[in-house]
Amino acid sequence: MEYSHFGYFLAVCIIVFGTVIGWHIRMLFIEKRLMKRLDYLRGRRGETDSDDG
Amino acid sequence: MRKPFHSKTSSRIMLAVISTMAIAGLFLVLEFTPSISGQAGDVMAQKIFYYHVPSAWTTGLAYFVVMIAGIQFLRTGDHKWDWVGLASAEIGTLFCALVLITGPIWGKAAWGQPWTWEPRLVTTLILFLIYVGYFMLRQFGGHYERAARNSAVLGILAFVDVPIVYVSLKFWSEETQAHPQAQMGGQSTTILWIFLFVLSTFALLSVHMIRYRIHLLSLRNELLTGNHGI
Repeated sequence: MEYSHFGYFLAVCIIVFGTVIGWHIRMLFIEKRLMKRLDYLRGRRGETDSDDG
Repeated sequence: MRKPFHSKTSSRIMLAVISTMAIAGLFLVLEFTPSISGQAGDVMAQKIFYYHVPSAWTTGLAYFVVMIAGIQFLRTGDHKWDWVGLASAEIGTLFCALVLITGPIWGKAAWGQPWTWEPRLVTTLILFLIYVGYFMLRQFGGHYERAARNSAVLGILAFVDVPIVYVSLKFWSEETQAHPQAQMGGQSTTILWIFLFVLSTFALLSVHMIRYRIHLLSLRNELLTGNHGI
């Protein structure tokens, strides 16, 4: 088998797998940030509701 | 109370299946794919095609969803369709970028030069640039409602370029083409099955990514509209 272009194939694998894994990590961070903000707002709304009640 | 996307059993199962298929696919491509007749480049360069071509097909699939979501959004005015369209446009453009990166790597190995101004490359680049315009429209297109409606129209019109990319090999004579003219249907069953296996992995991956992105867009919407019940 000819392996002279193995480096090219390796580069493609790193780019494809790296992009997909990187995208998931970025989305995990975004999700974490959004959930944190939502929890904070729910907490505040809970406080306001109990103050009103 | 909303839960993280990966706390759902269906999402976890899908992620596990995709990861297993991706590793198995890499092994199959490395170990079992023979040289493809009628194609330039040595066998290692040809293996790039098992990632380049499924990326291109996934792009087409995601942009098809953008078109359907655009039609549905204009018809019903339901913002869920807008999220589906935006999520699919993002994933489609990610895979389109992968096509434009992996293509020149293969081109360098097979042709000795990364880029030639031949029909399929140019039409793919145009497709990518149209969707760059789509995101600019979403970002700077004014009020959310107007930007959503205009981008839905653009998503429908932009899909016209997808079949053009596919048939661009037939539009112009073979002399103007640098792309391989070999048909997948004429190849050995080993090549075909492994290609279909990697293609299924990419299709499942794109569906998973679109679902994840829709989940995040709905979370963001919940945050912006203040509809976050206790």
